[in-house]
Amino acid sequence: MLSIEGVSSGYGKILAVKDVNLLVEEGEIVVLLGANGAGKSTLLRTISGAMKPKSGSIIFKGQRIDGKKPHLIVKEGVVQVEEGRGILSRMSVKENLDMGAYLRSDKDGIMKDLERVFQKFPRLKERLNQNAGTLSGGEQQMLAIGRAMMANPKLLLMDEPSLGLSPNFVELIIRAIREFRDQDGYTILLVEQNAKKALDIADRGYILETGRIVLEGTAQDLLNNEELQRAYLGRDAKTRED
Amino acid sequence: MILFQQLINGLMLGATYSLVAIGYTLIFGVLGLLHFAHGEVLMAGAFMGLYIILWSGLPLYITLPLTMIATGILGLIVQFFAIRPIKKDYHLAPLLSTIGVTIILQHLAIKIFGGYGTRFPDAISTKIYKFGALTISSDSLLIFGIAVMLMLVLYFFIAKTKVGRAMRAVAESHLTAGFLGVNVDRIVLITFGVASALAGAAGVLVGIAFHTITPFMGLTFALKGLVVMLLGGLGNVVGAMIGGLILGLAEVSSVVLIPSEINLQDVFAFGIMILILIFKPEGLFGTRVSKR
Ligand SMILES: Nc1ncnc2c1ncn2[C@@H]1O[C@H](COP(=O)(O)OP(=O)(O)O)[C@@H](O)[C@H]1O
Ligand SMILES: [Mg+2]
Repeated sequence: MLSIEGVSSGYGKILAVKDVNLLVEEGEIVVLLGANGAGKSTLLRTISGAMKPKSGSIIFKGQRIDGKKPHLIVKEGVVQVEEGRGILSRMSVKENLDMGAYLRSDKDGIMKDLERVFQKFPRLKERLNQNAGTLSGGEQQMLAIGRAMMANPKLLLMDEPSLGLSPNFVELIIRAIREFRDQDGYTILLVEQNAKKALDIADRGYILETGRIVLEGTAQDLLNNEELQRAYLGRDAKTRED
Repeated sequence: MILFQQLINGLMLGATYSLVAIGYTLIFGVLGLLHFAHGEVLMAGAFMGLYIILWSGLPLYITLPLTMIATGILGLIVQFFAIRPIKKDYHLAPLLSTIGVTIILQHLAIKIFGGYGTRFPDAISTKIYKFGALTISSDSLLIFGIAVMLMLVLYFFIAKTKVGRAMRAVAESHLTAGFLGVNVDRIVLITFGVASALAGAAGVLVGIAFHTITPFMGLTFALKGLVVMLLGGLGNVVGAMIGGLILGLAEVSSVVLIPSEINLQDVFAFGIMILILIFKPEGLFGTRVSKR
């Protein structure tokens, strides 16, 4: 569904993503792991068209999308839940959800998707007319994800959706992501710090280190990989203790 | 009773400031750019209005929208050719470019209209209303009324329409707006068009109010608009609306309260600006500027 071939991308002269090859098949959850500053967000921003790749190509459903403007890529069905949530804090919850459906005009479909969002995150319905900036971190993440659902995505790019959330909210978000694949038919490329939890629901994974893919495999293989356990999964265990 | 007429004058003057400041603040909101040439767009609007009336004799209610369309297009041209192509990485470059546009527009105007004052035709027949001891001229009422109406329309546009919502999204974050499917470049362009149309309307209203227009009139209004934008809070549209009225009233009161041979109005206005910068840099109503 998404095929990234030899993509390099960066800021000014500095390359933050170097010659990356990555594949996401339809119906998969693919997780992208890596330390802070490894280039995960840069890669997602490049897929979404916020940055132009310096080289390589990005192909979605058989069509090249690299170099296209972000709104045209959204139109193709590639929707990103950005790092830090990207809530429009001066708008109400309802307006944020409406913005999710910005490119759509199918009123019935929009209404149906709004109901789906409320079903998944009932809390948003209670807060509908509240200013989005006043929501808690967890609620904002629900809003960011709900807003992405309103765009009727085919491929959902999620940049650290569980970052900074309490364990309950992390569970909720992780469950929502699994349901997206199993029930809603979304394909998902997920960036996560929470490696164990992400690999538990993922089909396959890639490890990014200073801009390069250094390891890839099925989620099961990665979970069992000793080196990885030391580097990422160990740290997870530690954060859960405190 | 003179005070009452002054109050109306203050509101009238203030409402034109509001129109200018709204444009400034809209553009500052979406681009973080001080659009220096905004005053010259007002000036261009005043001259366009003048010639539409002179040549065609069209009434104000047609002249005004025509002028707004013309200056709106001027705004699009300025954005497309003088601002969009400039890399945002160089902080001062867009600002310098708009200063360049200022000089170009001003000198074009001098070349075409001459560097002296031109009498603005009477777009409406002035009536003086008397309510007992109160006298109010229809000019000031009309100008105030038109300005308030334009502000209400703009408010509705920004609050309720899809494009207005997209403008607010772009003002919060270009990145997020793009990820939501907003064509950010187009929205920025539209913002320039809307802001410039309002400046054009302000130009015509200023022409009616002051009867004389010059190629240099832009600077005063640009600076007053700037004061109002700071007063209302950067990027805050409602703040700009209220801030304009406050400044207009303050200026007129200064004339009434401190009678003086020399005109202290501007001392007052820019004194206010410095005080705001020192004590309340976020403005009276809070800033709303994009985190790009
Ligand atoms: N806007 C930016 N300008 C310059 N360098 C950046 C910018 N954003 C990120 N970087 C750099 O690019 C590298 C990759 O960052 P990022 O993609 O955010 O990593 P990750 O999401 O994996 O934490 C880092 O070295 C970071 O400092
Ligand atoms: Mg990141």
